[in-house]
Amino acid sequence: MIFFVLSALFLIISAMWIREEFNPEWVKHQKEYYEKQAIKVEHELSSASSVKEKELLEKRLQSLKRPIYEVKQILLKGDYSWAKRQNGDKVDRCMTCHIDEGKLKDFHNTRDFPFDIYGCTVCHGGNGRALGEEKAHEGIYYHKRQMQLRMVNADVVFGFWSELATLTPEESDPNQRIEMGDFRKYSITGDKAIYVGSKKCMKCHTGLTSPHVERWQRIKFKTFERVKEAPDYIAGDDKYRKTCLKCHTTGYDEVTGTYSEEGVTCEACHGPGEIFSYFMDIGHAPEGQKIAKVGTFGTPYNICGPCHHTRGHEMRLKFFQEKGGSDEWFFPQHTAPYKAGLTDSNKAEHGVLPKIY
Amino acid sequence: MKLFKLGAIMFAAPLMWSMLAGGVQAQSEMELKELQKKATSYYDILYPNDTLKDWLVNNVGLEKGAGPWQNLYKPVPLQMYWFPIRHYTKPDGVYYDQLLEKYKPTDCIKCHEEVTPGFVNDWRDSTHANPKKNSRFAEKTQQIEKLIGRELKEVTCSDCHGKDHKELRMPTPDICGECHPQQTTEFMGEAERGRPNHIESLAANVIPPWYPEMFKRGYPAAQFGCDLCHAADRCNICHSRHKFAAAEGRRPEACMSCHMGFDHPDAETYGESKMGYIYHMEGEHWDWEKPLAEVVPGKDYRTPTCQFCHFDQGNGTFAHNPVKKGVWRMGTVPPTGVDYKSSIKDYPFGINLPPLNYKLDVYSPDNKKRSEQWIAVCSKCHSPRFARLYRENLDNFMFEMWRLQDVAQATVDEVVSLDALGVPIKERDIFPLGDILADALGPGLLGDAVYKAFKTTGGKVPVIGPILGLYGLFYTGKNNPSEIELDYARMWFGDKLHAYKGVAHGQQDIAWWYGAAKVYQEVNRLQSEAVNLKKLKKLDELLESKKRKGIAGILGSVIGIVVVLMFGVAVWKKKRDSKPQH
Repeated sequence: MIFFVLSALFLIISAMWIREEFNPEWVKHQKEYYEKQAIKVEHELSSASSVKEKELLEKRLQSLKRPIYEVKQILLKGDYSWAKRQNGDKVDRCMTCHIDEGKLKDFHNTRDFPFDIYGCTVCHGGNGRALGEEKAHEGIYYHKRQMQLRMVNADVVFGFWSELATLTPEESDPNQRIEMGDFRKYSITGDKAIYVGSKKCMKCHTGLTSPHVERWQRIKFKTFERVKEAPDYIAGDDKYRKTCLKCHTTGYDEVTGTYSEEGVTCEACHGPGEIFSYFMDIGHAPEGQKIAKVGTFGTPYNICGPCHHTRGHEMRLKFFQEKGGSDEWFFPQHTAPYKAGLTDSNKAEHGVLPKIY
Repeated sequence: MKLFKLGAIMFAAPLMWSMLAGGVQAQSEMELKELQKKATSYYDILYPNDTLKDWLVNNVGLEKGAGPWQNLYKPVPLQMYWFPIRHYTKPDGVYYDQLLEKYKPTDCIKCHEEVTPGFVNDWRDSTHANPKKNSRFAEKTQQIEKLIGRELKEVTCSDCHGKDHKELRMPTPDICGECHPQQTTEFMGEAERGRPNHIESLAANVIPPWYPEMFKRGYPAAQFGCDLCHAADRCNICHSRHKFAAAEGRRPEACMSCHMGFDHPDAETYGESKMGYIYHMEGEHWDWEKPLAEVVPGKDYRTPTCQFCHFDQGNGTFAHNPVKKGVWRMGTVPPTGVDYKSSIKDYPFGINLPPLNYKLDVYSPDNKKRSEQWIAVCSKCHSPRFARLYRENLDNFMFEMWRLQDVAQATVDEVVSLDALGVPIKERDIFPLGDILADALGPGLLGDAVYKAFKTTGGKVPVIGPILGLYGLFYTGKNNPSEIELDYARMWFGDKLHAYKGVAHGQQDIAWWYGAAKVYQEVNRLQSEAVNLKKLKKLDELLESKKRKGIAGILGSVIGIVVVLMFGVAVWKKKRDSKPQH
């Protein structure tokens, strides 16, 4: 008798287990998504007008009505190490449940880190290989706020940056190795780190590293003041101005066309100061120091090079050749004594500023 | 020879310096001209298309309202003074015409000294009456003279109000911008970030549907309370007429007349904080003529004013743009970064109408930059670490408040989904303008779900929670809103914002006892209310079913009796029919 009861129980339990195995959690999410999509497509189909469109939509509807439930994954670059108690290929299977790509795109600005290359776990943490919610979401950072709270020391940031470096596809040029330092312009949320402004740097560094700062204050670097007066900058359109702004401002964003500061200031060479100033502000100076040392040491040509290259002002030459005007704008340092020697009367005669409109 | 060289350098240096200075002057003049152009086309830039002009700018007198519902309501006559560009009408009448014939337009002061002595005396005190009263103003006046190309002995009535009574106008920012282009363009910058800002305050007043709805129901004058503050698209909200003193605009009192009370207790929180009290004690001895950029904290001001923090644009510059640095947008827009359990999860519900169409990302690069700016501002007096911790604490505090609001919303959500608001939703009054809202805005702006909801129910949609849910505070319909909805609206729009401003401005008592504590209480009260409402709903259902049972019993017995009777009749008939056969 007992044997029968036990075997019945066993059968029931194994049936439940098998059912669970064939009907895992993620299938529910996919089912839900496909059903929603099917309704949406049906809605579109009813309002579609052209024949071609209708055909396409019908095809889509057919495939949506008989969906294939499968594990979706991104194969990431690099391997998991034994040290992390995992091994084999690195994969993110998050999109098995989070299957609605439109929704994901709405929430993310994936210009810099498209998720088909970088996956999800690099920013969000958690367990990319797991398929159950409980396991996959272990130690996850849901929102930017939680990612921000993660930043307790420099090593966390370095870990994040080097993870990004391993995930980035290799350049065809073998000499260009991608390193952690290449990502120092990103904050821990994957957004571009912000430029805090030289005023903030100056608060401490006027006293701390005075020769360096004094030199910066004394010479050059205020080039944007000259650029603003230049006739070609004034007459030029946005596209033309962009070529000037790129080097003569700090923190210029080519996509939005905004910059953080006029002229070449601290962050133009040292990179955006968000993370550094964060650690300095909260009194973890050693952590800040670690951050500061990434990138600016060892590879100085990378930093000066983008602006200080030959023929950087070629578009100006073209401009003045086309529209006329004096070449004094090319060599501003030579014009100052020339200007000083002029009296008011011959200033009017010569016309110091070339007029181009 | 050496001495000669030195002499030459000594001679050349000041010459060069003066020329450079001249260059800077010329540059700023050209810039000013550009700014003037921008400032005088104030309305063209801020309202670039015909629809917006038709809504808010074109003068329609008092015949029509403003905004998308302009045909549904008429403004109260006073609104011509609050929104002159839209509603101002010149005085008329026979007597008035005769007066104009008698007096020349140049006689403004002669007459107005009798009629409105306040105007005239104010003006006499102002810099407009004596533009070169000290060296600072003389320099500025010279700049303006160059800009407008004529000499300014005094700025008289006609310069702002038009040349004579026949073309009399109420000055708008574009008129101020002719001489004060920089200030006006700075002010225009507010509009870049969308609402809330000063410029769009009229839009904020007339675009929500409750304004015209209450007009339809015969309560137009009550809305006037909103207008006094919401007519903020002007320079004289801070630099009050006809003195227009910059010094007045630098004092906290310039802001306090509007920024106080229920939903933005800035005056109370700042005024009663330590900072505010130091200002009360010592403020009268400070030099208010000093421009903000020259103010040295601790020396000129021992404590910050509203303007000193909110006008700061970073890197030591100040501008007439207090909204540029704002992160929490007055605490009304739900932030991301909270695991919402309630329907706030789906905010903005597909609605595509700014500013209802986004969730706030406090940690986006732009907002992080703003936070850094705030920390820099606080660090002028406090330690940077203190400033950063305070700022982070404010963020965390707001996230907590939003989490509490989420709990409240979930509570009310449940009641709404059970239709247990006391009176069934179908029998309640509509959401303001709910009957025409769907057709007027269409699915493109409202989003499919919201559009469908309004369309199918004829506007009887329960709206709770962020932004639109505060309709209950501006509207009264039959049984709409119910008590629980009102309590919720009061909690998030009043108590939560008290808590926010209390923390932000450093007033602990308002932050707690009039803010956070009230939010806690209100959440508890909402939950008890919800329990009661659900109970009542159950009770209703039970009574309903009992009633139904009773009716069924009566009906059943009636049918039974009828059946028995009919059966009896049939039997009797059969018996009678069968009798004659025998």
